[in-house]
Amino acid sequence: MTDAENIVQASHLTVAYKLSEYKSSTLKEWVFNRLKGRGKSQDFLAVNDVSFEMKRGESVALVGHNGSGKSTLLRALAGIIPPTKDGYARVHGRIAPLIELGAGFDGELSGRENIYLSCLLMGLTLEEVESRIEAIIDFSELREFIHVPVKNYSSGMYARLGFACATSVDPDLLIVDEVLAVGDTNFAEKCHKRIDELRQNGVSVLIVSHDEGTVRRFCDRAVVMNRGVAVFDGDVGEAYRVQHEIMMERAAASMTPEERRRRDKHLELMERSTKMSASQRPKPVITSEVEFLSAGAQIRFVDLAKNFVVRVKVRLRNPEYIFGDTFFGMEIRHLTGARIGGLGSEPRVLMSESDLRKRSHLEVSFDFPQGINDLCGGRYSLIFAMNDMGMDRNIHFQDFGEFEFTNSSRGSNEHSDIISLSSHSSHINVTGVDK
Amino acid sequence: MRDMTRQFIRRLFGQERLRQADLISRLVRRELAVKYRGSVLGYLWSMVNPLLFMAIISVVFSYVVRDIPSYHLYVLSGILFWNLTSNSILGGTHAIVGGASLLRKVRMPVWIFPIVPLLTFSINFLLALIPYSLVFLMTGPEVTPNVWQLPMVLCLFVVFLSGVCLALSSLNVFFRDVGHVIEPLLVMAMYGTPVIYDRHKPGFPEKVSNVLGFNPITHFVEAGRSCLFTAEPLAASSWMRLLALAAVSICVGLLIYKRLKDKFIFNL
Repeated sequence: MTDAENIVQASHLTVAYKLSEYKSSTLKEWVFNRLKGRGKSQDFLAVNDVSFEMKRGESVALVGHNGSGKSTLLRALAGIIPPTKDGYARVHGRIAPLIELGAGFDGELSGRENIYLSCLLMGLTLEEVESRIEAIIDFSELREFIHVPVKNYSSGMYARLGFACATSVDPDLLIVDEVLAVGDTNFAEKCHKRIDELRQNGVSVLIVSHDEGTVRRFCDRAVVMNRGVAVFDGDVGEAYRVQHEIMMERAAASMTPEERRRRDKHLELMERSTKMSASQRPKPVITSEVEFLSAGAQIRFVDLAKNFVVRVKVRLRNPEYIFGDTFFGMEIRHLTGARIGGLGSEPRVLMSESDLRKRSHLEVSFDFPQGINDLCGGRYSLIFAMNDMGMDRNIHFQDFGEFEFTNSSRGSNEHSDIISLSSHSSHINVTGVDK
Repeated sequence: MRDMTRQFIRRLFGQERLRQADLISRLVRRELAVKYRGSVLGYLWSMVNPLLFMAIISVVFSYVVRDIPSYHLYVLSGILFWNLTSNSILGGTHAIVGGASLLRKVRMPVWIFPIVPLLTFSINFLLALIPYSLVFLMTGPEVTPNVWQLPMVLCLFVVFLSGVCLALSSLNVFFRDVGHVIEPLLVMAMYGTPVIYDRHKPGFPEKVSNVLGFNPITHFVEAGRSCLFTAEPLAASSWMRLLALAAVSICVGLLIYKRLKDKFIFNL
């Protein structure tokens, strides 16, 4: 592997911070520290001997808990923090650092002026900025406000302009540090698309994010950092398993003896159950019942035209047999058994296992703020299910049976329709056709 | 014109320097734009301000200092140079610490930070020459034949000040005392510089005059003033002195900056 094929090449990269307790920022402190012989302060290795390379076009995530050194590593790679003498980090090409959206913006200046400033800071020349500025304004959707000082922008507008600038500099390497979480969903989606586009054009992406979804979406590879050391480098799924173990260990360090005992029991059970065949594995005992609510009050019959909530009360016995994050889902079925629709907590996990294992009672609410107006009144059955994602298995399946549903916005349902076509079609045309 | 200058920079110093030049000119523009935003007179303030100072000082001191002809012009030329000195040193000293939030996020040459206020106030100086010329033409003596030397004196002065700004700005990152002590020092230096008096007048104590000779700014102010105001051309020895001062200053400034720059980020 030659250097030219690697966009990032870091070798024995080490970044040392002076621990700040005795760091002197005034002359007085400096003199005192010298006199007391603590001038030589202790070094803290935020990044400790990390060797790491990235091929052109590759997308890599840095994973790790807070303070594990991933942001420092990112900054060292971006050339913001110099490494200690023994190691080096080289990036062959232009870097677009999205370490903070709108870095270098001046509130007093207009959006347009700030585009110039921000792009020049990222290393464009004036001509390059001038040839891109229209595209940047278009992407940010801020054309009407481009002459307004950015101090009057909303935080979303600010972020939009910052993102538009950073991704317009034709980078070879895009460095993203936790910035994709800003803005509304539309903008986040737009950012994701832009990053996809850049990746298709061969741009390498280096991401630090606590959001597993983001990482899985963009990255082929992940590096797990722990205490400044790169402990794992490889497949994303495997990386998260390593990261999970580290988190467990860290949590264990701050546990009470009682908590530790429970955790050990859990781990032992998990260890045993992975060795067992699926049918032998111990399952938690779960019972559940359903109730319907509308406008906060319990109701017997659901009116599909109005807002309602399906609330499932779950009782858990031996919750320690749940090994991973839990998925909650519900389904509405027709009398014939056909599935009308379903709803699940994927991809966002509503409740992680650590929360779950402390509770014996849960309430799972499926909210329908607008009702389900498309569905005609009738009798439908309701099903509730829970899956243990850690073991990839179903742990609870409950058919609550049939319930009577009404729909006050539709007339009588004499044909037992499931959906009402008449509300979708206003008239029927009959025309004669000459042959 | 602009394109020609930029082509010239590209040819001579390469693409990297051109980028830095673009960035610096933008940052200077920002400083100027932000400084006068919201004021009615805008840029005019940088011209009106020294005039007001001139009026005040020449009224107050004209009773004390009687033997300098066209005293108001003498004071005004001194003030212009002094404003450049004190503003750029003050702005430069705080520049790197003030740019901390940016330096933590973007990779950029740090020396740009102290240079930007210096260039900003140099432009201010040039603007302030307009009202100076007006006052000079209306009330002054004949135009001195050595005005053409002013750009050269100014260039040397800017080089000198860059060295000072680089050094102080770098040191201020490690010892924030620098930023605090520089203000009273500048006030002191103002009285230690012949802004409102002339140390070469007969009757001025010679010892004091010699001590003032150790103040490097004195030489620049006197040289600049001789271009603007006095009829005598600058002696070769004066030129050598200015050149030496500028060279020493920029070397020391660069040396301190280079020694410290890799540690900036850990102390910001």
